[in-house]
Amino acid sequence: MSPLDEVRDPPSRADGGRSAPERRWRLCRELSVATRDPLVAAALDAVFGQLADRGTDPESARCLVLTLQPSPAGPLRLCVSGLPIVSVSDARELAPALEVALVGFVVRIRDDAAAFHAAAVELQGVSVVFPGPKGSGKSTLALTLALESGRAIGDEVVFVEYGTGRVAPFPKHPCIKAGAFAVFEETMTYADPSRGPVRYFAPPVAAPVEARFEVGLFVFPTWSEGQEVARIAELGPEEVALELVEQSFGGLERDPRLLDLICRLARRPAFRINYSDAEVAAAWVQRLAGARRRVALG
Amino acid sequence: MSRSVELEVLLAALGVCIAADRPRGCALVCASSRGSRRAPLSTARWLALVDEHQLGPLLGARSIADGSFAARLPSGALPWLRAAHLSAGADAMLRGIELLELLERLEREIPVVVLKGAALVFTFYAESAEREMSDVDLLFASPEHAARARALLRDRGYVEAPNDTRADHHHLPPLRHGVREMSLELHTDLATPPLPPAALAALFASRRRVGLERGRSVPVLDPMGACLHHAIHALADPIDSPLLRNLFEVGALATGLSIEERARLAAFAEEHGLVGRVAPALRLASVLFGSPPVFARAPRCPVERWALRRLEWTGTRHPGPLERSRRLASPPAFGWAEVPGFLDDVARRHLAHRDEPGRRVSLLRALAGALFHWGHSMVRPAPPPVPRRVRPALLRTATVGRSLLAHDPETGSVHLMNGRAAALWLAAREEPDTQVHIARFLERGLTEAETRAALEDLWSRGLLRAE
Repeated sequence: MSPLDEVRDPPSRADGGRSAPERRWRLCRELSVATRDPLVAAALDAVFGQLADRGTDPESARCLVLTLQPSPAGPLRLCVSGLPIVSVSDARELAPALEVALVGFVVRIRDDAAAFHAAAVELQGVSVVFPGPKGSGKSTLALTLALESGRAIGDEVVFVEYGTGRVAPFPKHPCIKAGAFAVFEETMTYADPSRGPVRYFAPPVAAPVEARFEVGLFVFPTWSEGQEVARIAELGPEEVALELVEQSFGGLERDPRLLDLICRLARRPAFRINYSDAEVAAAWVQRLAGARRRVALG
Repeated sequence: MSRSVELEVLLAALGVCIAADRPRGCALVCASSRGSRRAPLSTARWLALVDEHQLGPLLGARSIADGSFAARLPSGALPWLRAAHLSAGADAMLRGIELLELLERLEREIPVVVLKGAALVFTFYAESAEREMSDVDLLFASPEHAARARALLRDRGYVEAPNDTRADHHHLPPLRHGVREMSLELHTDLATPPLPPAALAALFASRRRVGLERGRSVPVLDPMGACLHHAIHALADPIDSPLLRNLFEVGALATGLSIEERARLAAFAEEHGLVGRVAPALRLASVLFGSPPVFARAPRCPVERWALRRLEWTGTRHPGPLERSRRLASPPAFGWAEVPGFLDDVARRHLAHRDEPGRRVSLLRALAGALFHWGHSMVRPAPPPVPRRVRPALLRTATVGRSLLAHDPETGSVHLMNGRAAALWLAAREEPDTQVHIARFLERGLTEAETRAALEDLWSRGLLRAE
């Protein structure tokens, strides 16, 4: 019996979860989500377990209450603060649906920071950001590094504050697609109509959400099958700037400050890595981070 | 008029979404999915039609709710529909919460009514993710109220988006929030040309509130008003708006009216001279979905026949990369296969402003316009030369490396200018005369040809504009 089976028919779900205690997850300063429903709670833990409210966290500006509309069999309809939003076929689709919707929500309420389609890890005191489109292998590479020795800073989206140019952690659990399942240990598989089967992994160490990190290094990954050796190429600031424009949520229309921020960030060391073996690529990233650390200390 | 098998299957599926008699509707979908004797159904074309009319989220949602419905859709379509539905759900969450917060703020000072898709999410669709939308429409009782709303929304970070809304349009230029990725259209009327003031006032006065959980409610038009509004708008912009979805919503709203409400709608339209603007869409919806026509005896309008042809178009939303590159690479050759599209273009030009006395286009003028457009696209004239006096486009710029990264907020384009291009662009701020630039850059070691080429490049990319 899988953990998901255990929560599928818990006694408290019979009343729509109303008798269960309310739990909260603080996604950012501006947003928390809360639920009493055990299925929703399980899905939120799968994706945002690192962000579960510790009870001592300050109040967020806004709290969305998530519920499921009762359904005797079959589809589940997710409601947010009483509004019916989206249906999923069954509980296995709930975590991916919540991930997409809530990540999108956070991206679109944070006025203080740019949002890049990227993953990020802290290695040897250097924060490494991996911008890239879907399928580029950034989550796989970042998770590999986080499992080895790094601290997870973000997956899918990385926030960089306009004022300071520093990364604000958003340690959502990395989401791995079927093509990379073999790289990691087996865990619960969820179903995403867009991405196919996906799995979530809680990294052993996550950066605290209050911390802020200077961007030490950009690594633009490209995963391709059969790449015998990892290929590394250093990028100039112009290339980095154009890549960051491409990977910014909302593009340059999002905020007039974004253009300046991108040009500042583009001065950071940056490399493109083409790889097929995540461990080999991770070793290279460790070397690059180590070199960057020596420069910073020297 | 014969329809493609793909359109027939799509219509049958939508009919199920409206019809109370679902077993009959499902049988229609089943029968149509097997294809006609003429041609087998192409799933790719069926999906292109679904995408054209923005119906993916609705069909994706209904396929979850009803397994027998899903089983009768074209094979291979389900994953795309599910993905479209999920993507719409991600947008819908923020849009719904943001809208409720905006309404709470606005209604402290001014009455407001939610229109169109944003209203249907509360009154017709089972969940927000079923309805894709690019903006939220709000109606205000007066231009003064709309102006006050504009000020309140600006305080919340909504700014005017670059657009070409006419001064006499029924809504102000849209407001957009860059971070929320949300657009708002503030209406002072329900259509262009405007409704009679008495009609508009009556519709606003009869608005109702849809109750939500936790004591909240949303102001919307009453069912008769909503049906009338959707019927006027369904055919207002048949090229750029999802026509089939518009007609589906008209059919759904008409089906939901009681006999008394239908009579009230007919009387209201007669009283205010709106029959000619309302009847065509209702009749089309009746033909397509079996909904009540309401105006059985109203004269037919030429646009109805044209609209039925337009339902079969695909690719107007976003031409695929292959089509885009084909259009850029070479002028289109005119062959007999182009004739139907040419005639459709003539009809569109003739019918586009049929309700606006000052802007109607005669058939002859429409034909001339279409001929000019096609001829021009075939001849591929040389781009106009750089004018003598130029000014730089208004760009946001920042230095990166040895280049200038520039963003044009008007077009959304991004440019990376090397040193020479950046110097020329910056020089145009001080001196508009291109001959002066040529002379100055000669002194810097550039030839006249090199400077002219750089100016041409900036001009062709829109970085220099005529003064």
